Amino acid sequence: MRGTTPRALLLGAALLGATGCATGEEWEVWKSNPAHFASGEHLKFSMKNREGKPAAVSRDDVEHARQQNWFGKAITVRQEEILEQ
Amino acid sequence: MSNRLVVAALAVALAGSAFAAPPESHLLPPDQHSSEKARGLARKYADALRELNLGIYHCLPWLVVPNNSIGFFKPKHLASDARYLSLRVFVEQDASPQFTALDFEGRASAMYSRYVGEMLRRMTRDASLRADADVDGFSVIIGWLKQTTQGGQPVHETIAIFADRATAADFLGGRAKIADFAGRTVVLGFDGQQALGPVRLKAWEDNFVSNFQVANYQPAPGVTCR
Repeated sequence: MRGTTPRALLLGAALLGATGCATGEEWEVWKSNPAHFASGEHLKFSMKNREGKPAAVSRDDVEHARQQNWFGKAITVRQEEILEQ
Repeated sequence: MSNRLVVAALAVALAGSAFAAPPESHLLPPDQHSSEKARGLARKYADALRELNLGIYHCLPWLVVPNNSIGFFKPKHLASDARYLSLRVFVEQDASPQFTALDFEGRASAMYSRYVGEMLRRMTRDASLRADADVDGFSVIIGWLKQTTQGGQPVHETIAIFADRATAADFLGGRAKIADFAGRTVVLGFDGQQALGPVRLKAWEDNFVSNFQVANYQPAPGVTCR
């Protein structure tokens, strides 16, 4: 798959970096998308939430995670096929 | 710290807080609507549309509203300049074996049951909009990730739901249950870019949106979710 190797490397590096700083609850929150660890943003997220304390997830955290464009450009119907402006 | 530095720090903090606002780009600007009727509606209900955008952004953070996805659009399958208040969302959710095992109609029915009624209620919180005769109906477009890829690219499944004003009023007024409402709405299905045509769905009561909370999620200060 195109881009798999760099993505896998990034994922591996991020997972190594995240070891020991992600609490069980963080894993529960973010496990829905394994690619959430594909960027350095997770490291900031982990550092902000100290070990043993519940992770605080803000709207900005959600947006930062989303902006990494985890899944790449999707094949989807164009809005113009359904609605006219 | 000098006064200048304090001012600079405050400016940075204020700029940071502005990030919490949902992008205006989610809304189709009034002047980009193609008819005067639509432009008038977009101007008249600009505050209601912003509130809709704000509520989804802060209170349902697992829903993605693409750019130009809230506005008074004309459904392509209607001939006249019928203007429907329209909202498009993409649902980010965990991969679920049960959900994946369903056929398209099953997945679409589940998404319809979970989101259409709730979105419609949010879209019509402004009573004057609900009663406005120029608003011909409502449409909700819901997309979700299909658990297969196509040439390495992710694929979205999508349903587009259209309810004329009378049908919506019956549902919102409690005169029609969601199951009856689903039978009266037009639903178009899409697999990626491929149109599947009209689909018949079953719908049932699902209070997921009212009850679900992202674990440890904290809405921005000043935001009240309802």
